[in-house]
Amino acid sequence: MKKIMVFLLFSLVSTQIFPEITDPQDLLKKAEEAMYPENFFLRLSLTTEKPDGEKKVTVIETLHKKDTGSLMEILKPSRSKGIKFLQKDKTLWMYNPKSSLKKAIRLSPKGSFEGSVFSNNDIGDPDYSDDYTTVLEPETVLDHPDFKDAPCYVIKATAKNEEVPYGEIRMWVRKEGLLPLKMVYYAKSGLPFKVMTLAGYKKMAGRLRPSLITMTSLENKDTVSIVEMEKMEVRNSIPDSLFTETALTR
Amino acid sequence: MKKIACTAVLFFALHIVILLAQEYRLIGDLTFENTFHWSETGYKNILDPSDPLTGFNNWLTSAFILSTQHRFTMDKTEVFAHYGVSVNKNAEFTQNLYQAYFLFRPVDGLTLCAGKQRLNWGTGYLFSPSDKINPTDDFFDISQTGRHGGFTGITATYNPSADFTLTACLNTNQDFNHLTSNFWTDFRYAVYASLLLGELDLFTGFIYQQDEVLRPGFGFSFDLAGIILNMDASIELSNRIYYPDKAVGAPISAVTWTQQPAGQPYFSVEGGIEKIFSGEGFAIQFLVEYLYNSAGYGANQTSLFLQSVDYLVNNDPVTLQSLIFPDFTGQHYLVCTAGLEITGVLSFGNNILINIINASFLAEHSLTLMILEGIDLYARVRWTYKGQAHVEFDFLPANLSVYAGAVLHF
Repeated sequence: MKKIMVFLLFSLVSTQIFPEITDPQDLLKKAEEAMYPENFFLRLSLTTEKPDGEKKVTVIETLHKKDTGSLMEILKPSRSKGIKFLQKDKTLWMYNPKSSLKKAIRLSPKGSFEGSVFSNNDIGDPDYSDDYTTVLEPETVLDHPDFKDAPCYVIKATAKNEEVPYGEIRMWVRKEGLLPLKMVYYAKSGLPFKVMTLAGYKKMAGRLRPSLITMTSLENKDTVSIVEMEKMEVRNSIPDSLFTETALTR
Repeated sequence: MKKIACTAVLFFALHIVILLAQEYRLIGDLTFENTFHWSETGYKNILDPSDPLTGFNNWLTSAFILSTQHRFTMDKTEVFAHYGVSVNKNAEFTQNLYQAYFLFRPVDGLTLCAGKQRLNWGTGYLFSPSDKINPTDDFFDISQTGRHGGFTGITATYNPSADFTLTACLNTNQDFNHLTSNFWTDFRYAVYASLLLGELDLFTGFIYQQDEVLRPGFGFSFDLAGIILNMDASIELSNRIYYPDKAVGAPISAVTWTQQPAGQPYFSVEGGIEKIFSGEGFAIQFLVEYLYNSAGYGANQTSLFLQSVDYLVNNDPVTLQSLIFPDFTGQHYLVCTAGLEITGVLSFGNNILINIINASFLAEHSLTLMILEGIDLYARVRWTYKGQAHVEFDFLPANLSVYAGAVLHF
């Protein structure tokens, strides 16, 4: 009887700690919520390391408004200073105020962001839940720099259409707190070509969030891009008018 | 005394702005450039025939060019100024205030802007329906002095959502010292609307000034599996140009002129495709764009290519002094671009602007090294091929120019 009581108590506690997840789409959304708030200001540094040890550091400020878009501006290096990107759903524009051409150039969101391992879409539109269908795979334990052996849910997300940059994404989500820890990106051919590790968890914009995101290329061995979140704030009063081409080119 | 007072007020206002600003951003660059020029027929300055270089086949130029852009942000307000100065080898100094405006967002969705500003409408590289509001973009950066200039006026932009923009513009267009008795006819008016529908970006606009401009236009851009398609078109219904008779090469005294009637339509249309391949550490760009300009250009054109309508309007033939080579209406152009950038190392670009009608072209090749932190080292070659006897690219002073320079970014 005592054993049964202990088992029931343990089951109750573990259910409280690791709430049962049955809907992978819901899990993906919760994991995304752990990465960024709905509306935010973010200053990040993006460091790309090449196999020869060369490093390139780009500092970017981002304003993101849910269901509206992302506006990014490069602060460093001086050569790229002032370049702005506007991403809205599947459209992306770039405006370089130093260029003799005073129009915004339309780009494809699938392309590389500033020559890094990240795509334009990774930086400008961090939500995947709208474009991918998800299934849960068997749970696993992941060796993670912050959480050591972390019990994880594994989500397999498959592209709903051809327009998204990745054919498939596999995401490891820590059961405690539903924190995303690792993502593997697959090309449409089915081959894995990038691995993202989310670490440096600390309290930012009201909750525990990753402050160090490492994207490793599997195509170009030893090429790594690291995003370090320098400052993140919730901003709920960003005007829509900032996310327009007219505002971008001003 | 008046100038000193104005300067003092401006100086004081600038400091107030700096003190109040929550955020101040400065971007700019300093360019040092040396250029070798060669002309087959000798240097000629259309604007100044007494230029001492006239007749020389080879000559050198050099320049320091400083460009700065200042942005002060205060809650719902922005103050922006773009200023440039250049000094040539003769220590001649030129300066340009390209833009200087005050922007205010009184409520969410409404943006008011007053001052010297640009409205960058349209999707193409060669042509925009809004060229009658702004000075035209300069794809080849031929005229470094006027390239970023805006118009002076007021704009109101309404955004009920981030996907729909409605802008109304009042372009004062004229120097206030020369306004006619009818105040309102001196202004140029424009409205513009754009709508983003998924991957389709649509816009339409309308520009009007009494007896000067009547130009509706529209266009779109669309992302087709990573290939960007674009199109812009406009109809000019108030092209009151005095076109010369079709007597090619005739002296001015033998040419008769006819002013185009109001309502006669002149079409301009461009369409292009662009593809940028970008991966880890590189980007490759390809662009092809076609332009048809029915209004054409004039042989005595002194403004940039492709915007001759702006030049010809208001030019009374009686006062024209240069040789006349009429019948340049209905021009077809093609611009092609191929470029490669290895991130943080170098970029290599090739542009060619072809006049399809007379098989002449302007080509440019550039190589930029980016291995030094914050400094670009570049070399650029620009050359023309004439095709037939007289082409608009003759308006460039040289058939071949070789540039070498350095740009310090800050």
